[in-house]
Amino acid sequence: MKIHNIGYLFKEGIKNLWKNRTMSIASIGVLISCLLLTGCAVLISMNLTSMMSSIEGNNSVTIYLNEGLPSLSAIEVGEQIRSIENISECNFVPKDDALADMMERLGDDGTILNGLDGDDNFLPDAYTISMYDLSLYDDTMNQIQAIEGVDRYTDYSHIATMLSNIDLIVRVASLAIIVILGIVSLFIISNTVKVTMFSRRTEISIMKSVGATNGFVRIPFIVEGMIIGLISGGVSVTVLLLAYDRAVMALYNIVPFLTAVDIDPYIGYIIAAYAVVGALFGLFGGSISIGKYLNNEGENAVA
Amino acid sequence: MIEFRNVSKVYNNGTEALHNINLTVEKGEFVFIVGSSGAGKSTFLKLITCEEHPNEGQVIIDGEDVSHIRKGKIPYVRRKMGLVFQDFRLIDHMTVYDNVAFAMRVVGASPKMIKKRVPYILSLVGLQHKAKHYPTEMSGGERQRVGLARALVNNPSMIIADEPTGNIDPALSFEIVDLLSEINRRGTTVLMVTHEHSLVKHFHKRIIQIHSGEIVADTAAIAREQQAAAAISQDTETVDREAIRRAKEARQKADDEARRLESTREFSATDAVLAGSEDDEQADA
Repeated sequence: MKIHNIGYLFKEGIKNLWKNRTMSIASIGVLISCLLLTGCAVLISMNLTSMMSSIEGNNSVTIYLNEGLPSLSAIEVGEQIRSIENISECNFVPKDDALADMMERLGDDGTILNGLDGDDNFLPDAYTISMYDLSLYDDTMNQIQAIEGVDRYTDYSHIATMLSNIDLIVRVASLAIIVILGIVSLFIISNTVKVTMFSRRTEISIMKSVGATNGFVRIPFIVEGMIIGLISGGVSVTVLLLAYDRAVMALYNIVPFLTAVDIDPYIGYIIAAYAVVGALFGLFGGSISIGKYLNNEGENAVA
Repeated sequence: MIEFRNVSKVYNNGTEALHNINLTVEKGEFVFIVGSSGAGKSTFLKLITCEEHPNEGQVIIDGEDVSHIRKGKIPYVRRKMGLVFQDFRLIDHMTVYDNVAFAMRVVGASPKMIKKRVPYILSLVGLQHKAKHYPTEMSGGERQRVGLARALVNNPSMIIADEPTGNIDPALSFEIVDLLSEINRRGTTVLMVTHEHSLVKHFHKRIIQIHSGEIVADTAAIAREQQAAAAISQDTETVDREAIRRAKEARQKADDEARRLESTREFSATDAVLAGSEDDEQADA
């Protein structure tokens, strides 16, 4: 392939795309929805997994004390908890520390909590505990609940199970949707290229009659498919990153103690992955139709 | 240049398009191919352009057997030939210049080469002043000249014209064949399929008549036999009886051929074939 040909073939591919813009837009639309859904599913799954591992990882339960409980009583509650046989660890978390911790996790957004310190602090004092034997969980928690001054406790084991269920549903559903949309995208791209091919059949037959190789005939159509893929990849990754940012902000506003996965370090990889996947989709979609066409009718030069 | 050796072609639906064709077209020849619709002319051309492959026999182009050529090699065989179509096959949204340049571009010619060669070819077909026109703004004759320019631009060693005058005013048809003759005079082999007897009569070229998938007449073969017969009969004093017998046989064969074609006019190989072709067409009608 000579260099002056590459420019020409790319120009032809772009021309194809423009001439056939209705179909091109349809292909781009479907491919964008496919790529966006894939991205959403991956991000949701990543976040659920990260939450689960953080919950399961520390294997601890937080026990909140009654609001306004005097410090002395709080210490007493701690002693009583420690006296339970199954308790391996029991640490006091003063409400000021909890607030500071939350502000730190929220980063810049944490400043909204300024002014809530001291007496305005809405968080209660708490103990975080760990157990030796998790099979005695229910029994141990009943004993703790019976202690005077204990308000409630976070039952992370149920949350973990729930998250794991959600994760499974998200994964299965998104996989099914992605597979279906993937096939639809391929079909639509290959149809778009087919329409272009049909409108350019005279040109193709002339190309073949003067001795253009199949490779040469194929390239503009593959370029067309790849551009469709690249545009879709670009739009989806932009939408996805912006939407994720917004979604995370919204989530922090609703549930401040949750930590979303930070995708900033991976943005480069995500963009590259979208570009590659988009281009590959376009490449396959374009190749399917032009390959079929050239096999069936490609050698016709005279008739 | 082009050789058919015992070539037969049967399509998948059982139609036998060509039956045992033997033929040689030498470099620099101008050949008219005549015959009624469905006679096998298109199949004949398709075998040359490698669009179809023979079931039996060999098709040899420039010494290369293309009967069962690999797909990937077909483009390179086609670059040896320039194809001219009845319906011109020009790209309407491209100018005359671009239509011709397109043929060069798709075989990978450099922009410099295209700039140099296209104006030259356009002047050869007398269209240098119409380079910026679009095909839709031109007459049939002019469009076919663009088609011819496109066929010539990659400097092929042969031109294969499939009824190039079929969509043109009869008066302009002569112009196109004149142009083809001029191209032929410069050394390019020309193979032209046609229905127009006036053209074939006017230009004294080799004529091959195909009927029901067989070559029923070839003026080159008849002329060759006549020449052989004449040469031998002029020198009867020096040849033995066997030679005289062969000469008589050859002359007899030529005469038979002429009678078969029911030519009542002054005998010439061209008229004999044309008469046969006209009969075919009348029968078809």
